[in-house]
Amino acid sequence: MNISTSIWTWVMAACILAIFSFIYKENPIYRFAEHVFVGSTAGHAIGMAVGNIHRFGWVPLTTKNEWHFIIPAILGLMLYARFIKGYTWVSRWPIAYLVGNGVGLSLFTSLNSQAILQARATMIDLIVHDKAGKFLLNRTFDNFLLVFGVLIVLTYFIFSIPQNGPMRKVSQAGRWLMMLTFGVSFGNVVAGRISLLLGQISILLTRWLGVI
Amino acid sequence: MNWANKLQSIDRRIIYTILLIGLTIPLIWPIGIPLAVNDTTRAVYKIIEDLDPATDVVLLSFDYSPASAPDIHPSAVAIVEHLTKRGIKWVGVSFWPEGPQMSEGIMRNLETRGLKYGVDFIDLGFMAGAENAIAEFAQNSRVITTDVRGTHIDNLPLMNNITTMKDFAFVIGISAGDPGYNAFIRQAVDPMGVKFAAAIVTVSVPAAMPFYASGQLRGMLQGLRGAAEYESLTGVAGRGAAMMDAQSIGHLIIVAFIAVGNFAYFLSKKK
Repeated sequence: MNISTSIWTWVMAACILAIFSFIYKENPIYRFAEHVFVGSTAGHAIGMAVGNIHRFGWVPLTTKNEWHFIIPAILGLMLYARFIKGYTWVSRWPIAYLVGNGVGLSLFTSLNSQAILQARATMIDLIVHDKAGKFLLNRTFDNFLLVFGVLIVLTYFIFSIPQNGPMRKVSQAGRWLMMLTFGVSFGNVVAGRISLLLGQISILLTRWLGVI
Repeated sequence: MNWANKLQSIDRRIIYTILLIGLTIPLIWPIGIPLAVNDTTRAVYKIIEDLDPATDVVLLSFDYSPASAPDIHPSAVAIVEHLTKRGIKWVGVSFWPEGPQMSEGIMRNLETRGLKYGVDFIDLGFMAGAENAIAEFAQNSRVITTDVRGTHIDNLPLMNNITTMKDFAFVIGISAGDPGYNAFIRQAVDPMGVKFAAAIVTVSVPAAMPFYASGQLRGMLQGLRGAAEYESLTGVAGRGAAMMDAQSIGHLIIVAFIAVGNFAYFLSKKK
């Protein structure tokens, strides 16, 4: 065991343990650590934002004569007109610019990448053979699952036809498949949270206590 | 209250204590639980193995912050270790403000081992603008004129043959959210044909899987597990492998509690 002598490592360990104390029950130490965390995160975000405006806007504008940076600076300032009575309308211009820019950037690209190319990826051979003509059972099963999985899930979302008889059976199969997918998502969320917890335990064991 | 009801209302403090003990013990005394390597991880490894160290330059985009670092930073380290082992040069960039802080630690470690900044790797730092910035950088990779250490890119030999993102032999997005792998797919992979893979946080894996199946993602490292798998492929031990035992034990404990809770629930209903 090689316990740290750095005051900042002890502060870090105290903050982690204070947050963990919520597991036992709500308490003033946890509340204190929570407020410090929220405050320091907000402070860090403001510091980063001011630093970025200085580095990417102010410095090129004032030292490199890149005058076009005045436009985003003015648009940014216009956003704060929301807080001036009678001039709220001024803030709508930069918001309109931001929305227009976002839509323009993503309208085609989202449709292309997330709809057209994804749909195309489901148009595949159902029976798969290798180059020598040998039947590939695994790939064939995968492709069947992919194609029919997409079709039965889409069936669940067909609301214009009454879901009776065989249609109802297919639709229910689609619901089961979605449940399975949600289960996988939930499993991944648990795994992700365990990873984050492990990161904090690992920090305590290595940097603070020095046991590993 | 009978025992079936008691099992359904176990105090959460007992559950958390068992979980904490279960996670801590394997960290101190690793068990060495075997780990199967996913195809998504193997694909990234194979692409890097096939690169030519004499000519190819890789782009690494560090798009994560300290909040997600425990899950994804080991993947970044494992990829850099593989590139270093193969002598492949890389350029770093970030579309998250905290990204350069994450890459700085990796670069400092490489420098202590004798690798040279500017020769073996460089970092262009943060570019503001989220998906807009990715689109701009994809079309004009010289839009960032100086690196994080203030050197003009004209004086950085690694950037000599780079004009667009397509000029990089391989692009890897280490991404924890937005902007991340999907912005790269929208702005660089599909419109320009950039060869792209991603290391992503565990929670994003199910959403990213269809992009791997469609070929838009050439490979994928799935959170901490992906890092451990990659370390086992490269043979360079890192934090990923060290944590996998603990993660596996943690999952077993959670599964056991879910099973116990459900068993008790059905038993109490039967009665």
